[in-house]
Amino acid sequence: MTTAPVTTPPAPPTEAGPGRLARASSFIAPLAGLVVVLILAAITTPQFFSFEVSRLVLFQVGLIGIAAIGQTLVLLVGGIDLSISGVMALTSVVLATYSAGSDDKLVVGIVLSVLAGLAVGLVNAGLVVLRNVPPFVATFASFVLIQGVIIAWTRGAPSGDIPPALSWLGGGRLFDFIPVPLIVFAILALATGLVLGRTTAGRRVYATGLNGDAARMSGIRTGIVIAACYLISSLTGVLAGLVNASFIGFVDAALVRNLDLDSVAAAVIGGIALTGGKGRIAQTVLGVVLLAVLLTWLIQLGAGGGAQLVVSGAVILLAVFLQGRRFFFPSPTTRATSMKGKQ
Amino acid sequence: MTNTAFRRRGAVRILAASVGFATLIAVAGCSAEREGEGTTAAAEDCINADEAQASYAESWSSVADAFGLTDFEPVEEEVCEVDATVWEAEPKQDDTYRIAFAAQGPNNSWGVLSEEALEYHADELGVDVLYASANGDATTQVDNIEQLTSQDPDAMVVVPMGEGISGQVKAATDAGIPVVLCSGVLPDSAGATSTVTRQYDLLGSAYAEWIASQIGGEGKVAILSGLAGVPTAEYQKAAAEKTFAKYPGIEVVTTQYTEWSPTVAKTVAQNLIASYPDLDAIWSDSGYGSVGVIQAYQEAGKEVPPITGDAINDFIQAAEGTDVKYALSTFPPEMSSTCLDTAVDLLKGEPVLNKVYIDSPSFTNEDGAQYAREDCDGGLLVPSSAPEDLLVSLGICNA
Amino acid sequence: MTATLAPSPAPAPSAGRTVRDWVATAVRRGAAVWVIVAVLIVVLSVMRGGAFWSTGNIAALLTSAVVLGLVALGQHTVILSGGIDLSVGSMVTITTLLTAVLIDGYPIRTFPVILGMLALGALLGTINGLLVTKLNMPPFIVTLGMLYLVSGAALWISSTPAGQVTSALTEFAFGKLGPIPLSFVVLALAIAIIWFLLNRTVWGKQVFAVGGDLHSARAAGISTNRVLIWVYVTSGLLAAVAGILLAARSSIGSPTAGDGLELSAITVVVIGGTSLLGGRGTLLGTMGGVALLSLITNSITLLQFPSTITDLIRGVIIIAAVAVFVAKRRR
Repeated sequence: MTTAPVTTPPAPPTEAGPGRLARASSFIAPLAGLVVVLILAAITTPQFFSFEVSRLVLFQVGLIGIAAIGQTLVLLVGGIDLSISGVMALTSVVLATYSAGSDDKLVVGIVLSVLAGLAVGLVNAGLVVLRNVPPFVATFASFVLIQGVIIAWTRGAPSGDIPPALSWLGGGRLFDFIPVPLIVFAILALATGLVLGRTTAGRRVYATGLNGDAARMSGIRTGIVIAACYLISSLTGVLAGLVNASFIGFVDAALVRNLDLDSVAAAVIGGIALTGGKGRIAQTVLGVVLLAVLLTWLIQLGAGGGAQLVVSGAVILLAVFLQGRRFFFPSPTTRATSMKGKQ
Repeated sequence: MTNTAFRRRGAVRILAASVGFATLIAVAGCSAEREGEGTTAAAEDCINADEAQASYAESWSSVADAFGLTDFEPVEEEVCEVDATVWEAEPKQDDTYRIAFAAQGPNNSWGVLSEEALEYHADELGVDVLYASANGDATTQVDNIEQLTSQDPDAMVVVPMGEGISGQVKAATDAGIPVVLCSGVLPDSAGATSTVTRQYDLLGSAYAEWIASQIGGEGKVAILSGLAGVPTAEYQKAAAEKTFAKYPGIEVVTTQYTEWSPTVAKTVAQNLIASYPDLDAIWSDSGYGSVGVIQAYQEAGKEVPPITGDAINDFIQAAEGTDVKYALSTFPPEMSSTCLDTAVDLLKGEPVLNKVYIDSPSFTNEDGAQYAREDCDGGLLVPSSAPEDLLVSLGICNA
Repeated sequence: MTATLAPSPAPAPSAGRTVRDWVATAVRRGAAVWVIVAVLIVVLSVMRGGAFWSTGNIAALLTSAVVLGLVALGQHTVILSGGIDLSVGSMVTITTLLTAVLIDGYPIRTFPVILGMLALGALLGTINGLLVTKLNMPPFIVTLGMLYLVSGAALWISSTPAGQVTSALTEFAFGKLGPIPLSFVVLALAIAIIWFLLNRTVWGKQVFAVGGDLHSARAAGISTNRVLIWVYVTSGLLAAVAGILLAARSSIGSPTAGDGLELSAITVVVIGGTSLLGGRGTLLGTMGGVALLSLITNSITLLQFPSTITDLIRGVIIIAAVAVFVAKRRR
């Protein structure tokens, strides 16, 4: 089976959809969703378009978006990273414990957080690449492990202050309107978009995600590509963790237990395929904006816990339904065999 | 084609069946006898009722005094003395009592201090503890209690995670193990021997009454509850809503959940500032949440409306030096040592009340500053009656 | 087409290779996880033999496996078919809550409500199945959306624990057949039925075929949509049974009863050597996973580990099991 000759080179990203029209259409669903939510918000909560609320939406975009970029990379190589919210919590605990709120120790504290994040990324990558563990399980296992480590280490009560010198990252604004996290997200998105769309590295990511076997045979070291994506994902987790921690200024123990799926939801709503190889950063950005608008609107609406869940569920289902694509989870094998079937 | 038709028929059949069953349930509901009605315990065998009742009223009046409430009546509750002769027993193994402890688990600082305080006190009393952690989950606790019961301890202390554990508590007492509920309540049908707690009703309505008195019974109020579906949060919220409903002038403009996370609370508060700039007060069930609220208002350069919460160190420190009006009380984790005392007293045949209501300090911004503990962790509920050396050994306070 | 179904040619035999093959086979057959279970049992017997083997503890251990076991059975079937069901936890929650709320202490309602809950589980499963097959949406998304929708609905029905089951149900939950809890008998029956369905019926063979290779299964004339819909119905039904038993044990319904069960269920299925890609796995392994998770919880209490490291122990064991025992993704 493995000897099936693959003559076609790995597909470049532009061939992810049948053509330019298809590519445009992949933006239509989330865009339509965004318009619908904005109209609903305008009707039900007129204050939604005020200066203050728009600023809150932009802040949410930054907060969710940073982790969503890393998540997108992992999704593109056919993986998923459930440990990302664990990394965010770990970051704040490491930074607070080491620095104890002192600005002098900020830099070393951040370096330690980055190292901790990289360690988690390495564990994920090792399990997925070397042990061939399904990403869903591997990253969930490391999430459980991170929780265990934090609780054992802090004896159940993580706490401590974040150095005030970092507070600009979570609380700062440009021209009193553009939150710093949004700027960080924008830079990240732009850089990732360029790398994915314009460079060899980007093409390798898509090729690996679309058809690992074919990519490997055409000389791409897929293991390294996949590992790199998990490492980058953990690093965006660290960055998101720093933003989160500096937003509140101390360790939020409640977040340690939270398996936060916002980053997955944002990417999926934007139309990143869970099967890998399909989707562009711009779609993730759109998904992030839609999710941020939605979350803020639900708070403004004063919807209870139940209604919030129902709306989130409906939006996820509707967004994916509207994309109307044919994908099946998990499909690397089915796609490989169907290719063979044609020969 | 046939496949499609068959498939469709399959789905339709299931739909039809469920509609059928729904009708059946509706019909069945029309005519039936209900179980377990009219079996509430009669008051006649209540021992020392007056004395016991007074201790209950005391826990309410002390809060009323602290918050300056004039009209604050306790919800009805019957407190009696437990028949001491029933549970008196020698240790089943060796010559020390083995007390099972179905704890919440160390999933937040409250849970940590709750179990550490109990273990510390067990050392002092010289009794053995058999520990199980529910990890904050009622379903896990159901398993825990079953397993602890199977180890046949002399008595059991349970920090109830939800009413779902009632059946297991009943099974334990039926097996001859006295059960002391700690920091929470269960329905009478669970048959717990004694309950040691601070009342959620008390906290929820006291905060609401204080807010009413602050804003003169008139104005817009936001409710910030903890976690949707979790009894601790929902019961306090229900008590608050009931109290606010008494005041026609008070409008609860929004109810939000903070997940007991300052980060979430801050985001919610920023939204409140944007949509309800004229908010008169904020009812919050947690100090953690209120820290986020204060930050949000201060960053927006707005005055913080009167706010409530539990008395965590971080909150008092954040409010220090500002003119924020607040009313705080505690749900002290270290009450677990009283729970242990109650269990041991039962075994020794000493007099025990069926409901022990813990009184703990309540205070407002007028005298709050004195409770701040610069030397302790931000999450500590102050003032803490936990032993100082325990707090230091846990790294919660500096020596 | 046939080539994909044939076994891959055996590798050249050598000493190291045989050992590895033997381990791989053990993992595939689901025996590997039972080795760990056996080791744990031996350790517990040595350290706390009396307490561990007491009838009460064994009964508690068996009972604690029931809900996870039932849900894992459904998850196992779905994963075999190449899908995933993230909504099982929420289906347990809503059936637990509704069982208690609808019965509300009226004995006459017990039976119709139980039937109604089974129908509800089947209905939710059907919706999952229809969305996955007819609308061709990824199972991960469909069931994630369903998880949110159903949990939200449960909170909307009641945000506090509510309702009351009848004494008949409670007695069943606490009842025992000799030393064996009655609810465990239900699990045993369910295991037997699912084993029969998967291994002795045409439908079972079709589930394996669909999970192994959807396109060739379809090309071979299998009505893949019908197979898949029934897979999700099975999962929904089993979740409903778990929900009813949970309500009977608790005597009350809670809007958060099944939280997190989906992840535990997926974990035990995968630890048991079932491939998340579908088409390969054994019930023996999945049940081994259930046994392992229940034993870990049981042993943490038995051995009285310090509370703050219990999460760490759980995490280390899961990640070790995942690293060592999980079926390889590629052949």
